[in-house]
Amino acid sequence: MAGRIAAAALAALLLAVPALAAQQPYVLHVLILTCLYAIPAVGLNLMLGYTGLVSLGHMAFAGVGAYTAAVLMVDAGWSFWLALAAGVLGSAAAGAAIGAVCLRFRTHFFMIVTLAFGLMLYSVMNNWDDVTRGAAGFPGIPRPAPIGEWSFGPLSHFYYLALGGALAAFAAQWLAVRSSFGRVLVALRQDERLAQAKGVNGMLYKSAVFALGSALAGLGGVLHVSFLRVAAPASFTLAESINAVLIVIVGGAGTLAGPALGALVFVGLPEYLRIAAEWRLVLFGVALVLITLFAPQGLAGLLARAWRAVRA
Amino acid sequence: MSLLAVEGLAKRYGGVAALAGCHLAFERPGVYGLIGPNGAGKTTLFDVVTGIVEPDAGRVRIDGRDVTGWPAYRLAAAGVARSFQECRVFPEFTCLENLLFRARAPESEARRLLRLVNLEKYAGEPAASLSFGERRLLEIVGTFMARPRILLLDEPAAGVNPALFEVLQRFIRTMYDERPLLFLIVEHNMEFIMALASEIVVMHQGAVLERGAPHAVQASPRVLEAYLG
Repeated sequence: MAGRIAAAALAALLLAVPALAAQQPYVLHVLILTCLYAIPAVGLNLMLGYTGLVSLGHMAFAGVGAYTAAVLMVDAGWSFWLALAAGVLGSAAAGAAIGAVCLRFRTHFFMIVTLAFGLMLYSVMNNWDDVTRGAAGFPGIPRPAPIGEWSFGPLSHFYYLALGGALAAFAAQWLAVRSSFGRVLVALRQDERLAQAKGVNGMLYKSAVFALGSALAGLGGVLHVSFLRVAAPASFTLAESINAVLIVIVGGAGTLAGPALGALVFVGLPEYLRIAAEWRLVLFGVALVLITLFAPQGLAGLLARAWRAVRA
Repeated sequence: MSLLAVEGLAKRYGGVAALAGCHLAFERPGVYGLIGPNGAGKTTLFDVVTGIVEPDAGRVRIDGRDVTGWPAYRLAAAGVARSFQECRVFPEFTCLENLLFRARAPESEARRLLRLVNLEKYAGEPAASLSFGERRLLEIVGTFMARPRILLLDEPAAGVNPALFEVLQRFIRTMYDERPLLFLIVEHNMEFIMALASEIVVMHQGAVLERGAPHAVQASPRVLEAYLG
């Protein structure tokens, strides 16, 4: 009961943010970015947190979706929504195909192969000038066309789009985790050989979660470039992929709320530490170390403990 | 037609021949003991039959059907279940969740099996909280939830204390009496396996050395020589 009240209060707060922060575009900006970082993180959480697949190339799949949608919208004149669907499917297809290779490897070998594919995809985005416009970025990516009077131009309106995307991602995660599919993923993380002996086709399930995780990365990628109005290879580098891993781990790998908390800390904290000027990255680093030291299950684990303490 | 047959199995790991022309067939359900000195190829035979390792040569047949090279999950679907020498359970799942994962039998059966090995009080506890011996029992109990036709147990008694030892022995006998299936049990503990098995297969240097009733095998000079070398 208390949990439901808390969830309802959180939902009301999230919906009311544009009204509450009408004079605070900066807050809205940070919250939009939080949503846009949380969406790919949800995909990575399914892979890393639930299945134990540590991908170091995750954001490259966001790039595949983003560039697919960009080309379709700008060069082929597709509507935003159709291009969004195509971008998500494109990321899923890339994830399934590249996953089929990466998943032949395990543990640190898997990490290295995903890292390599991430770098390759980045190189394509950075150098295939005819299609991706190269390192200068792909300008002129539109926002979704207005729905009636409702345009996605104002920050407060785009906020609802980003929030909707994030809620869709979290809903997908929730459905996946509580299904028998999610059960198998967790079993594979704990002991793949045992799961196989019990009749699980491990490769099939891991490929499926790689594709699903990549699809969610693509969703985040498309929304991200639509928000910025430009797709740039710099958004899909190795550093960004490592950030995604940090978001998942700091937030709490294998927890439902982890990606949201991780993204909030990851986007919000550095922004608000700007008052500390050149110290901000140092302080941020210290915060990360403290979280890893004292909250091995991330912020979600910390919050769950606090929640139990309050209720007891 | 044999329930399970292996024909001319060979498997090398580097310079070591783990299996070298291993022939073995089981016509009827029963409890069969598989013994032999370290390195005789017992676990490799299990790994080949359960699809973890592909043989370099030879065939594996179930009911006459060639299943050589089938992946583990497919063999599981065909009715092959196993336990592992190193004891594998899902540590984060509760005991009940461990039993229900991919089970063909219902939850009532899971609870009954837990009662048979005195683990029912831990049904809701994560498997990681069990002692090693209890985890071993949980693993073995779990293999029955798939309703297998062929069950391979790799050193079920290793690391199990004498009290649980008896529980385990009684459990295997009970399960066999309820539904006869093909039990193949690798075991180093002679007391355990001689009391349980109706027939003993002795492996040596990757092949079958001797096969027969427990007392006959124990008296065999070839077996004594293989063990004492």
